[in-house]
Amino acid sequence: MRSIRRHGAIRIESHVMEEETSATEGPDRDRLEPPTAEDPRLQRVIRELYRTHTRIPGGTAGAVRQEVRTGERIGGKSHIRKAIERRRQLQHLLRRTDLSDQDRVTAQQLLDDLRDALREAGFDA
Amino acid sequence: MKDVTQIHYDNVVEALVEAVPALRACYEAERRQWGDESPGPHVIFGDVLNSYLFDLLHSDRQDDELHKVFQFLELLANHEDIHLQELVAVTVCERLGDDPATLHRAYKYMGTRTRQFSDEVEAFWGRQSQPTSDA
Repeated sequence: MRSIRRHGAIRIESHVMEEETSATEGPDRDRLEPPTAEDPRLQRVIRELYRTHTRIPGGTAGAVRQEVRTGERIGGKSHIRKAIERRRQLQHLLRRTDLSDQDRVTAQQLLDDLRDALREAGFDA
Repeated sequence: MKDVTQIHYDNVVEALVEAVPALRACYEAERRQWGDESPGPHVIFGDVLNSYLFDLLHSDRQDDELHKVFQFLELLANHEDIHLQELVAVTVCERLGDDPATLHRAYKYMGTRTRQFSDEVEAFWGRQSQPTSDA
């Protein structure tokens, strides 16, 4: 697992752990690969949030942003309620004490991403 | 199975486990994890139903159970409440589309409206797997 802090945003990638200082403005919302987790419940959340082989990066948060920015929906159906319920699930998971430090970072980053997307959609927590 | 007019967003999870009793144990286990809080329907449909559905679609001789699950999903897909439709589209169909082979197997059991949702979802995400021969 790689954790890279850039301007306050945490980027998580698999297989490598290193610090990187190169500048990329803004949070990393456009990663193509989802993070991974040791905790099976968190891993299940990731699996449900992220889609494979897509034109839209960022999973459910990315879908919410796509809806907000383009007005595009799935036959009128939205990802907002799903994002709200997953946000609450991540908040619940983060209250647990048995998450590893790395999983806690991953969960917090996923939560922040959903919060940001929902804020763009006008749904502040 | 509940009549469609009796199903609402706040009781859809109970309706799901009534329609598919095999899910009840996993649902109860998930609820226990939440303590005093309740998981939302997207969480249950994703974490409980989707896992079960993938298992069924990768097993032999599960036709009856698969028909039962997809019959319930079709009921929700035809419901007037768009939030119930969203459960089918953005949580179930979306996830099935992650694995083209599983999605193709699922087409056999999908009702007309569920299949429509699935095609819309695949188009939204820009995924290539939109076969039409085995609908």
